[in-house]
Amino acid sequence: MKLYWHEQIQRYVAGESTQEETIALQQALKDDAELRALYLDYLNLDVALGAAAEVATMTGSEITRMAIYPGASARSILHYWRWIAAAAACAALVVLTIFPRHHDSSRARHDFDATISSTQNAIARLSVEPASSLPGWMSPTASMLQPPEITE
Amino acid sequence: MILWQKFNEFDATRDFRKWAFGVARYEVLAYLRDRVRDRYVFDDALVHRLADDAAAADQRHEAQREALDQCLQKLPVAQRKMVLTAYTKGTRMDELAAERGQTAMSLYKKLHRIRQALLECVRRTIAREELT
Repeated sequence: MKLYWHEQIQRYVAGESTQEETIALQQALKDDAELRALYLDYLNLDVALGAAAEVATMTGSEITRMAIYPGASARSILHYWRWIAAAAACAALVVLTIFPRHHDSSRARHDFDATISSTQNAIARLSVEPASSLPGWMSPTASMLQPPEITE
Repeated sequence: MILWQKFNEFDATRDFRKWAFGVARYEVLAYLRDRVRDRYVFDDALVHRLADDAAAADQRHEAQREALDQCLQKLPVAQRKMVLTAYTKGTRMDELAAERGQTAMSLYKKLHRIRQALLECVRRTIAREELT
């Protein structure tokens, strides 16, 4: 992949692109599936770095493996939350696609930041919250996610 | 919250993942449609194509987020701290640049290079894991 497109994608995501650059990038993305994959990879990296920074802030330390990626036991319990977080990440990708960052302090910027922030928070919470020590049936929302098995 | 509000509309026989992605996509599109009027952005056709690609690439992106941990650890400490600080909520790039005795433009360029290096590292890591 040409270095030029790496630069153009990052400029667009950061809200630094001119209108001409945006039009050129749009056409290239329509024509090239590999470039679309690169674009989405950059958005994914952007979201993940935001979550990593959030975790580092919350823990007051540098990022750890556990913080970025929960263990197997936590993952199984948080199965549906993971899909919701994934959907939130998808929403962030769509937001970034439609409305890249820019550097003024307009209301739209505030809305964008709030959307991204809530997505990052969701991902960060998903990553650091330990699995509950309580049985699943004690959670008020557990019944919505994992119906308890009734044994005769 | 919207997913929770719409949860009773979810048909349990359908794919929860597809449903959640669909809800997220259309809610965001609807929310932003009236807001984005002051700048040139991608058209709806490309946005939908990208959203489709994003949904299809979900597993790849999850693997990338996992590999990012290793790649962050490989960065020199100063660069790792810089990139995490830059992504911390409330950080102003001009202030961060001033603290480091750099111009904002110089800082942006460094961040561009670090992101590119991270992405290449992530892709290499996944490719290596696929081989083993």
